[in-house]
Amino acid sequence: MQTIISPLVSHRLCLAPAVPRYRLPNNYHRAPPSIRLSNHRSTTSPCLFSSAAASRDSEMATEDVQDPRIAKIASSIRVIPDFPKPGIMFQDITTLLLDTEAFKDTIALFVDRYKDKGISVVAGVEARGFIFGPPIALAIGAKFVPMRKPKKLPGKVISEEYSLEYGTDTMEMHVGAVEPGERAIIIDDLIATGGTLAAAIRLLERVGVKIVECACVIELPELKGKEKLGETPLFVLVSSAA
Amino acid sequence: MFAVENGLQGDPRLKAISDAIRVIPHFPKTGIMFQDITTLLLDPVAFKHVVDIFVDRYKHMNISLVAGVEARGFIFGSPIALAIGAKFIPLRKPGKLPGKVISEEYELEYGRDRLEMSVEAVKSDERALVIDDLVATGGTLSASISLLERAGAEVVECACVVGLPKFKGQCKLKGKPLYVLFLFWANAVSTSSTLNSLIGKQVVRVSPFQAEGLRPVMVSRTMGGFTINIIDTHGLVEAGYVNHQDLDLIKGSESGITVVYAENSGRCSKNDKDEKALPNGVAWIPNLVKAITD
Repeated sequence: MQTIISPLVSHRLCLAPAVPRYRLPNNYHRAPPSIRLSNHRSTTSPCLFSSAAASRDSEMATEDVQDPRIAKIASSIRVIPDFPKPGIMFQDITTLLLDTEAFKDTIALFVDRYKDKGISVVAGVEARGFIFGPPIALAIGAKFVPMRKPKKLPGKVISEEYSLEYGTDTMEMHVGAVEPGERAIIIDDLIATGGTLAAAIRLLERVGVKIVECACVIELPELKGKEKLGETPLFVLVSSAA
Repeated sequence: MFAVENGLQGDPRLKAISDAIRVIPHFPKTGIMFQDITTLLLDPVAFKHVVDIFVDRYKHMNISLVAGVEARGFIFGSPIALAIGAKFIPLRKPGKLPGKVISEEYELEYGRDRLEMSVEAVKSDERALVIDDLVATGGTLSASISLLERAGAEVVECACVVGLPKFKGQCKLKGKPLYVLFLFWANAVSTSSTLNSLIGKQVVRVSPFQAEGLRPVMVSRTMGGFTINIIDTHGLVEAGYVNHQDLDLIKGSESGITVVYAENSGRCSKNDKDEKALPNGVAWIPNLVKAITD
């Protein structure tokens, strides 16, 4: 049985009809018993469920987190229809960056999760990964490694090709930025098809780095990006169904 | 403003930061000494120092908005914004930002480019900072200032980690103050690079923060039965002042025949092969070696 949660952002700048933006995944009712959703929780809060090891769904921010933080973060993300092209509902995090509390909370949620886990590398995917990655890296004392489009990084690089909807693109990383055996997380603002994150995983694994987790602010679960990540777990704060 | 002049002189953090910045010669093209801050990001302590220095400077200036220039400006701008409690606004290449944007064109060395900003992000009378990793021509920063002013914000200052020496001192860009932690010299041939070229391998670090490098230094190479000693010092004549300390050092260490004093000038003319040349058109590094060995 699905619970439809009323939209939080559609009344803002979006012109789309008032369909709910956030709903629980279809298999919610089949989730292991450790997942709870209290009945008394406000229906305006986006879905929160603690991850179960058995579940193949992406891990969401746990119920130990105060509701207001996640709700505020989710409500600060703006949905722009038909950008960059018709039919796409663009999840715009720039409005989150304008909400100083929400931005701070976003970083705090990631930092709380990854500090004290022996993570020495935070890899951020160009360009919005460069906004979230560095503050996390600084807070947990890890290196920040930018994963860039071709020809941006000077010096010696290794590159990995990945598929786009039409054609391919290439991602590059500096040779020597990371060492074998280091533990890394990969940060981007959003996971859609998972192609970019999968390329980042391959680049780091090629040089012997262990990717502990991929972390994004938003997931578009219908695009099944998680499946491209193989063994690497995915953690997101907000799951947004189009 | 040069860090030393800003009361940061002797701040031990500056050496750690400058040591972490890597110089890549001839990137993206011949003649450019690229200041690569990505190595700084690999040093969590040095990276934190940079952010701390900026945060200390701006936290009491009532800044409500930090604008970061895509993409390396995001890396520094975001942590600064978070630490001082300001909004963060990305200034982006065309077509990346959704919603209503304004754009500003600026000059590149060849051609023009455009920078965009979300116009809804800025309210009037906001106090803003513009952050980028590096300032060279100032074109991108000028475009950024324009965008913010057009939206009604007041640009309090622009800040960069590295900048060309022309931004030294009480520098202003479009009437706005510019704060730069380190100056770098964009010449393809600095004295340290020359020394490395003459010796045949990298023996002296090419440092962007020339004033605090490990100099003076003497290196030796034996060629054709002769031993050449090369002494690399700070600039012997810098900003009109003669560096007597280093001159005395050179005189004191003379153990052979002093052949030549070389002083690199950034205003060297170039020959057809784009090498720095003497007035008669001969490239001067080969000429220097010839003068020593003949």
